[in-house]
Amino acid sequence: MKNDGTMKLKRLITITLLIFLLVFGSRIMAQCCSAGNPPGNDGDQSSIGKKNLMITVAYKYGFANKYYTGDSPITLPEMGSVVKEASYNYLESRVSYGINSKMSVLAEIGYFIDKKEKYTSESWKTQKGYGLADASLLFRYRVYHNWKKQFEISPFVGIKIPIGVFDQEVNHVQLPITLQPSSGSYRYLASVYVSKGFPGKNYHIFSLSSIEIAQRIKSDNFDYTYGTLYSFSVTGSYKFFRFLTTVLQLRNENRAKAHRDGNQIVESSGYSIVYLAPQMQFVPIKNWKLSVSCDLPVYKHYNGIQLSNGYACSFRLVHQLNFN
Amino acid sequence: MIIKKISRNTLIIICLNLFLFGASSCTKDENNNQTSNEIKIISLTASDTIIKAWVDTTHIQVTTTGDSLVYAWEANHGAISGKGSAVKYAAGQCCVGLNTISCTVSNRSGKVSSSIKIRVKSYFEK
Repeated sequence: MKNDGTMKLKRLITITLLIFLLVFGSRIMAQCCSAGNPPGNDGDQSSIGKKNLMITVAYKYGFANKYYTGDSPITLPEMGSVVKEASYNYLESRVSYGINSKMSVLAEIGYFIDKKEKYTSESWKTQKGYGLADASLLFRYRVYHNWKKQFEISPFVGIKIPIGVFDQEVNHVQLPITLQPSSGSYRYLASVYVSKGFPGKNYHIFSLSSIEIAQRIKSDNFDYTYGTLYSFSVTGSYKFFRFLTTVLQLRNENRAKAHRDGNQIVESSGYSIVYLAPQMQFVPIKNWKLSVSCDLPVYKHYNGIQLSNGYACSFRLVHQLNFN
Repeated sequence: MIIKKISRNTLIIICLNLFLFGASSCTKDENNNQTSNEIKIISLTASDTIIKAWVDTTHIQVTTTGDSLVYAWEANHGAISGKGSAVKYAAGQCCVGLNTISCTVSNRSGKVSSSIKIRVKSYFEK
């Protein structure tokens, strides 16, 4: 019985992949090369148990309307391509599966409902992009876990794949790179998650250190490499009631300068931002979780002059299934 | 037990396929790639080929021969506003350097392309 079930699973997976490759193989090869998914994390990177499946859907809204030079805001003249305000509405879907007690896999995909830039000059019409963004595939392995002390160390490795739209046009005019839903670039991720609980207590702390390295995008007229992104966050959570947890995250993101046309440095690129991200988590019924969070930059430093990140808020719904 | 296992397997395969399907959804428009002998780009000009980041806008115009023409524009850095045979181009500080604006003119017979370089100076440059 057990062997039949396993054989059937293997056959199903093999057939599915073969069909997929036959039908969609050529489309996979036609990948195009990009601004991509909004940064940040929901602070919830806790382990998922063996044969547990976690499905997350999230909505995120982001807004920006201030230019920064260094760590000071700057007012630009109202002309040309000066952006008055930029915003996005973003959906994300994530699936995590515990392969065994130590290893899990995570797949994530995003979709921009819209990504808008409104210009200060009235002669420049608001531009809007939308569509499929990037996908992520991550593997996590718990290298150390002490049940008694509730201490865990788990590294992740993964890849972000630019599956979405990177050459979107409106009226046959290609949108600027900042409005393209996909980043256009493969990016390689490595992270380490460290978690510490306190037996008998309602609070818990964890940290996440990440690095994201972008691959060079090279096509006929476009040669660009996004700067490497370093991120470090410390998060504390406190469970008030069985169904209510509050979370507070302090997160630093540092992005190095980008390069274009070979090794030319893009001086007005790269930044260092510190975010404060409060979050509320509700567990209305078992295995369901709803959370609300906001990313609030409390310190910003931008190289050159750049449109700075404003605030971003998100809603997440998480459901966990146990197949044990 | 078998039903539960099959349901789990089915769910995993559905999720996997959704992910893989999404991964394949980026497609290039491969239609009408043929170079046209009917369309000819006579000129592709800009009112200014050197502009200052944010401050200046340059007007770019393409002159062509041919019928029922569709004009497609792209810039490797910066932003284009407008449509048709004449558009505006401007760029911010992030796009300082020598940028390429391409115009592809097409109809049922095929397409032809041309490009022009615009130098974007720093906002701080006098």
